Amino acid sequence: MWVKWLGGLFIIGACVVLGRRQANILRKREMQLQGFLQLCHRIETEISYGQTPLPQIFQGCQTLPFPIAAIAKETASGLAAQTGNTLWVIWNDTLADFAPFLCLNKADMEVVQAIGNELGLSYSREQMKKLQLLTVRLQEQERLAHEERVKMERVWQVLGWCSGSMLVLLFM
Amino acid sequence: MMTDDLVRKMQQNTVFDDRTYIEIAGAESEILKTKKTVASYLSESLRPVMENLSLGCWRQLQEIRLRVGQPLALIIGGKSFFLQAGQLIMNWQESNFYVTQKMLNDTVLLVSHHSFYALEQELQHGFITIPGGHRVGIAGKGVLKDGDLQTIKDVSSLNIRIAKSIPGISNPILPYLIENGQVKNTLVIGPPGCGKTTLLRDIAKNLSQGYGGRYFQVGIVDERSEIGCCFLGVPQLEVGPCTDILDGVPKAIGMELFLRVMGHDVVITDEISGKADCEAVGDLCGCGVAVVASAHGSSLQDVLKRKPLGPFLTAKPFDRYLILSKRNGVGAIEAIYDGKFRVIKELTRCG
Repeated sequence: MWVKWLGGLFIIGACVVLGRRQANILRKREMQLQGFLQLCHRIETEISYGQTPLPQIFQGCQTLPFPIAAIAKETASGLAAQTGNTLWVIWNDTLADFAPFLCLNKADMEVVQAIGNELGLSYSREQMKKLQLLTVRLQEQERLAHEERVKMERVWQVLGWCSGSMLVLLFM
Repeated sequence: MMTDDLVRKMQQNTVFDDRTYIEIAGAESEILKTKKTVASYLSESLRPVMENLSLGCWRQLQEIRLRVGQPLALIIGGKSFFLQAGQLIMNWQESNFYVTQKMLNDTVLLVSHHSFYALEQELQHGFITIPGGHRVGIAGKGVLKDGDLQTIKDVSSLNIRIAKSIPGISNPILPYLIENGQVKNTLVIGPPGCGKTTLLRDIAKNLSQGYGGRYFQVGIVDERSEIGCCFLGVPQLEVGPCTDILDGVPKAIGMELFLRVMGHDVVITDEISGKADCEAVGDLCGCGVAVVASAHGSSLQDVLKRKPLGPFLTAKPFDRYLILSKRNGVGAIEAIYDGKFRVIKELTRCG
């Protein structure tokens, strides 16, 4: 009998963990989008006031949350290595390397990838406009992520409990 | 010893001493270094093409010209060459290697360290300096602000000019510029590409390294980063151990700054032309600091006709005038005049 109870507890526990994991992904997605937004603001400020070169800007973004800081650091190393790859290639390669840590959907990724495509090749006034456009797009994605999290985070947590309990009831 | 002579001797299986081997290694490694540096700033599709060029080509390579939709042009030994299946040819119509917009954009990104916006000050002069002192000239659509060129966008052409110093080019003329241990105020006159800047750089190096038993304290006001070819403020070409460089500072401001605080024996500057430049040079000449400057022109008479330089020169601020020409290659001296415009010496090629 106690084995049955133990199995039931295990199933409930596993379902709760799964539900929380899904809720966590929603939370992380919002946080990561906020992180990329901060990165864009940082780049915009550095370009606007200091005309700082991109490798130095990326190098100086170590205070941002993980994995944004790590992505910035890796990009800075790629740019400094002067291997002949453009920022677009380095940025996309770095994003691919950090894909397991990113909780972004396809639309989010398209906006984040555009950062690498828009930076570097234009003069400062044009660069600022491109960054402002990117910021607006990122803010929109962040708004959607926030709405989804508010709507679905609790649902996933409750769903974990409910589905676990349901399974236990069915098997018992 | 010139590299070409060394290579010729190598081909003739001449037996060298250890010192000559070191010279060969040094000269070749310098070319390899140039090749590696320049190639690292080219786009991925251009790089293998340039890396496949022989060291002989690189030794004489002066410019790499990229124009969108046009064949890649290489200026080697003063002549234009194009590429056909990796081979150099002289007829552009037979070339099959054309420069694309992507090649150009990627090269611009690499040259600007992925930060084109950070080079607006440099772009006002029309070029960017990369490590090694090589200069990348840029042409495209100009962006104006209040009537002044702010930057260049939509880049359509690049000209990568390989920096080369010619050591000893000033040796034959230095005796004419120094009297009683004092450097004479000197103006170097010549058309573009005749070696004025190269000569100024070598004068700075020679004076700074010690001449006539004295080390001269030399200041260079390098408004366009052409004399020292500075990268991040550090001269990429040799200008001597007792030389200070003010990089990217307008001549008038730089010369006044040097006069007030640095106490130089000689101040060297390139291409004086405007009224402010003339006034600054005049101030310096009257303060006991020798000035060695350059100006565009094919002859002394040519320069005397130009305003505001002509009226300024009639006040005789300079003691020597060196006239250069391209007739016998870089650094060919046509004549040396004294402060009263009398011919002191007519020479041929320096170095």
